[in-house]
Amino acid sequence: MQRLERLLSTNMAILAVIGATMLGLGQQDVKLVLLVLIGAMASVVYTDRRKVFSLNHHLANVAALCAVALALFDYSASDRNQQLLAIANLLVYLQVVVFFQEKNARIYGQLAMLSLLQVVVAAALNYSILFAFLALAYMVVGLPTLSLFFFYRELGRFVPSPESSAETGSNSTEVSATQAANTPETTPTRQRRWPLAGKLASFTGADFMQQEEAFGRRGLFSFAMRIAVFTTLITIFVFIFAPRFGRNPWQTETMEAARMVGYSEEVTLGELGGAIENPETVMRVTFVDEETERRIHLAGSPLFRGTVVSSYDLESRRWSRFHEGYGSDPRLLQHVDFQDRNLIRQEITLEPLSEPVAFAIFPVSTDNPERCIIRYDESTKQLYREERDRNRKIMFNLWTTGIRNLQQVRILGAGNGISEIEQNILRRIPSGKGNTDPFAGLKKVADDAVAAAGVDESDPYAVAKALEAFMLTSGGFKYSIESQVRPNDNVDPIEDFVTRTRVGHCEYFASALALMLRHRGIPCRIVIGFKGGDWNTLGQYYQVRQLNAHAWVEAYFKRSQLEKQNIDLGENNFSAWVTLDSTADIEANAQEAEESLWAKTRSLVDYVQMQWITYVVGLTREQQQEHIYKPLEEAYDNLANKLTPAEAEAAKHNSFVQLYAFFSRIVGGNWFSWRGLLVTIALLLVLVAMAYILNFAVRRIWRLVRRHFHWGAQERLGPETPEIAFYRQLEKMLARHGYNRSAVQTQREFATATERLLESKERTQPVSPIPREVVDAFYAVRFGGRTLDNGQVQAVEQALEELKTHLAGPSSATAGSRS
Amino acid sequence: MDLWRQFRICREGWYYLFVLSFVVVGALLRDINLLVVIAGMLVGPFLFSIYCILTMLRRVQVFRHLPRQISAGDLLIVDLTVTNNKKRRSSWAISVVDQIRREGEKGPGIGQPGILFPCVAAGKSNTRSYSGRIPKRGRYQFGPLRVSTRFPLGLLKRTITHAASDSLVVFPRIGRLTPQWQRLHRQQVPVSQQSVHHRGANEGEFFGLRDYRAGDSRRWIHWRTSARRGALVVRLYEQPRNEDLLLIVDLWQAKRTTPTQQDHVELAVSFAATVATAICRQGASRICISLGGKEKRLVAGPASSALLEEIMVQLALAEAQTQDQLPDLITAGLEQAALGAPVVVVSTRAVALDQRLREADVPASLAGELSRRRVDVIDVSSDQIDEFFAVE
Repeated sequence: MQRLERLLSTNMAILAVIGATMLGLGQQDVKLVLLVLIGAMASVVYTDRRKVFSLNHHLANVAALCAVALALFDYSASDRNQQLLAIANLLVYLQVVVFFQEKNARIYGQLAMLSLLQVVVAAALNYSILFAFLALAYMVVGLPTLSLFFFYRELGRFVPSPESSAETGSNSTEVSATQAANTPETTPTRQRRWPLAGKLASFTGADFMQQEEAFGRRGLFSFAMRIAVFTTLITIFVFIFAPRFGRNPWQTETMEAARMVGYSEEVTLGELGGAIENPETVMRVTFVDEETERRIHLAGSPLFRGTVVSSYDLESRRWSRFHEGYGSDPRLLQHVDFQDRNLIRQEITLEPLSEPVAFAIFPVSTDNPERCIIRYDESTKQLYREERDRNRKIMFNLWTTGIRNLQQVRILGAGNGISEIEQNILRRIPSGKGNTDPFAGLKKVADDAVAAAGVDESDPYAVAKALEAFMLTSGGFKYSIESQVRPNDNVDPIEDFVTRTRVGHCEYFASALALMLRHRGIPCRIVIGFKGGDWNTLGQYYQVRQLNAHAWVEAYFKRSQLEKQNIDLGENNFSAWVTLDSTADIEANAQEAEESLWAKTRSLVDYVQMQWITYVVGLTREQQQEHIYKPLEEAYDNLANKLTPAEAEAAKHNSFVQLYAFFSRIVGGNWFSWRGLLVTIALLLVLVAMAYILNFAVRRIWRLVRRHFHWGAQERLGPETPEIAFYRQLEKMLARHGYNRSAVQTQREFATATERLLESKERTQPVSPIPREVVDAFYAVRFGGRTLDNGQVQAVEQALEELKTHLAGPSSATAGSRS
Repeated sequence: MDLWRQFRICREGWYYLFVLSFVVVGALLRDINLLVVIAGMLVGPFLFSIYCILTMLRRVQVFRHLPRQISAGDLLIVDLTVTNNKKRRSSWAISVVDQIRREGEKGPGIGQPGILFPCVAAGKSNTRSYSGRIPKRGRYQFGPLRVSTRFPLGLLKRTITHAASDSLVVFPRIGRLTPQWQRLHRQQVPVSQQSVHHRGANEGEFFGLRDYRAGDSRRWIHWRTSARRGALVVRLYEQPRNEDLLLIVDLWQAKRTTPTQQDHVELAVSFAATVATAICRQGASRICISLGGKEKRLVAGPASSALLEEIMVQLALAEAQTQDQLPDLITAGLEQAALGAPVVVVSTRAVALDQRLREADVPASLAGELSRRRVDVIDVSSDQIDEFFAVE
């Protein structure tokens, strides 16, 4: 059994490593994977093949107990998430212990079971697309392994006892396990005169080496691959139609939320540096026109609002919020008004983050404020997610009217506006110690810029836009993420940025503009969030990364101040926040990045990941209801109604164009849709069935035609070697019924022997001479150089047919027919 | 067989189902979609297993080929042929388990030998054999054949019972007759000079030499001896002698039988079978066997392979009994035996034949008939049997 065992142990080791890798991927820990990898390799080489080392039963039990104790300790000392990890670790520890035991069917079964449980636990820890590939690999390796394991067990049922071999005197090594009870036992016979006294019957099976031949073939592997294909289809079916009961889109938790690098809830100048280049994904956002259901690529980079800071501390050089914490003033989001024709749906997938803040284009509303997993904090003016959702990826939809004509609207209605007190706070510029003005230079630059712009200084909006334009273009400011050296630390960095360096990143730009606006008496605040992101052309969504973190300014204006600029705020808004982004150049860089090959590849990978997350990991009950069950119900109820008269007419005339239009309408206009997937699968199944039926019909018809026209009597008996074909037919027919010609028999000897056998049975007695007659004809043709005329061929055929009928008589021992 | 009863979930299948149900419940309760994927991946192989065990045994035929005859303790080789009549699909992991039961015995039988056919290709046959030894003579029933498969993963099993029953009579074990027996037998049947004549070297055994007579074939001349003697000498060939025999087999055993007594019965049967075999192989004789036991049997006729087979069958099926049947056996035997054929009584006990016959009050004519023949009594319960017969 060596060859089979070698195959099995190697496959089992590979399976274990894949399972552990899936687990390690979920835990984001490579140590366990390495442990299993080393353990598996070492056990295959030293325990299974060289048999140098193995744990005996007692040692293995002790080691397993230690593993359980360790896992229990981890379990008791951990929170809920870590408890799952403790279970996962236990599975790995046990697997390593089992690896080093001497293998038998029980041990292999334990290994398979542990590996399977690892995959089950890994499914609760993973959401990456890598899980899908590893699961596929696990299936491709696992099914042949389980088949080998099955054969290993099946042959184990025939393992002999040495006594039985000796007893039967044969060289075989097999005996049925069912015979175990009948294993020969030789009772003492010295005193008995009858030499067979006390002996029991004993039997042995076939030679094992012959049985093992099957495993060298590719047949088993190809069969396993057929199971894999079938399993894949079933998996898809189960996944699509298995009912979901929960309402949370994600239950999968990551063990460690990504730390927010780049974005922070406060602006501390001089701290950004290289960290801003972190490419880690923060979220993916798809904009969908609610009316047309089309995905939107905005002209310009979208600004995703996050945190609002409004107070600058001169000492710490930090912008911060007035209110700390989240949920102190929770509000439900507004209910979306679906009558609004400018409604855009933001489909947002937010990665686990260390900060609770959520990002979106404002204003936001939701279709179900109570059940929406995103909340709005009035105090901090930002979206946030509940504590329980912070360590998990979440997906939510928010609606906005902040996008019009493929552009983000830069004016945010503020309703009745803010109080005078708040306005004063938002105009506040920190003063220095004594009489020194830390921002004297900045104020002068602002005044000069306004004066240079030549705008009406009594019009705050015009002043604000002039200052923004100054920062963007005429001021000579440059964007850089590198920290600038400041010779004098007593000078505020913003003052230094405006008056001296004019080189900095977005926080400097936003801070400078905010202080300039405040100097000019315009209430404003800094908003921290993300700008732009990688536009994924395949998935039609924005992939927002940490390096897209951005800060900009929102200035407050009353309705009267904006009406001068012919800006209409609508009926309900008497004031508004206007977005002023004084940082340039980022967009250009992003555009370049989008066009590189690497970016395109990354975009493709991310798209696949996005699809996996959206449609597999994040499939919700509502989505399932909406995209799967409902369309099916509709299709069932209204399929006939969907055909317009023209389409019905077209179908009658096989107009494929019209049919295509019909199916296109069913599928919908999107690149991917559940409905489309289902229709495609159904169509493919129908096509396969049609091909199968067609193939069957063509073969049948062809056979009938050949028979009808008697095309080539010889050919009927075998086109390649007509002179011996009928004999081959006879041999094949007899072989099917257990009459096989041995290698040492001539055809005539075989016919004679078969005749005797057929004679001995009542059913076949009438046709017993047929083999001899056919062989006579065969000899005449093959060795006598004669040819059969048509009548003789027909006679032979008739004889063969008659023989076939008698062989397959009513009492034929056909196992299948009895079922 | 009811279709539903053909299926069984194996132990591994229950484990598998347990994990599957665990995953399904976890997936649904915790709403973890990847667990639903795993559940699908577990459901797939299970469904495929159902499909496999439904199709693997379809259009599969099983045949058993038994040897024509076999003696107890000899190597028995039984061929099992599985033919897959499907056009395309191979049949994998077909295990065929035979059942062997001694006729008249209760219980699970003497063995259930099985063979695994790893793969039988479409339209092909595969023959494998199992071998064994059956130590007890008698009639054995083979079958039914249980054809089963658990392919591909051993989760489910389908078994089809194929009622292909065959019967095999295991003949008594054949031993070896000693020269002592040959001498005894020759004493019983004196060499008839008339029976010795030249029929060719192939038709007799070399017997001796005599002077050449007119009419003798030149080929019979023994040239070396003729040269030594200076006169022509020819070889004599012995025609198979007329070894007519009446064999009385008295299979008596006590009511409370012991293993030793059972051994004696087997020894007696084996001895009788060996004698019958020897005589039938030689031919040109008549043999009559009067066989005691639960059923009295009498087999008589000219020595031939057919008669030998009949004798062997009767001996194979003979069973000891507790009553004294000896007078009846002798009476029946004498009626059928050849005139003047010597009598050999093989008994499992010490027999005083004259006393028995007197006690049994046999007719005087039969007693007289018996007295005209040579009668030898062989008691297999004593060491006497060892003089004539050995068995291994």
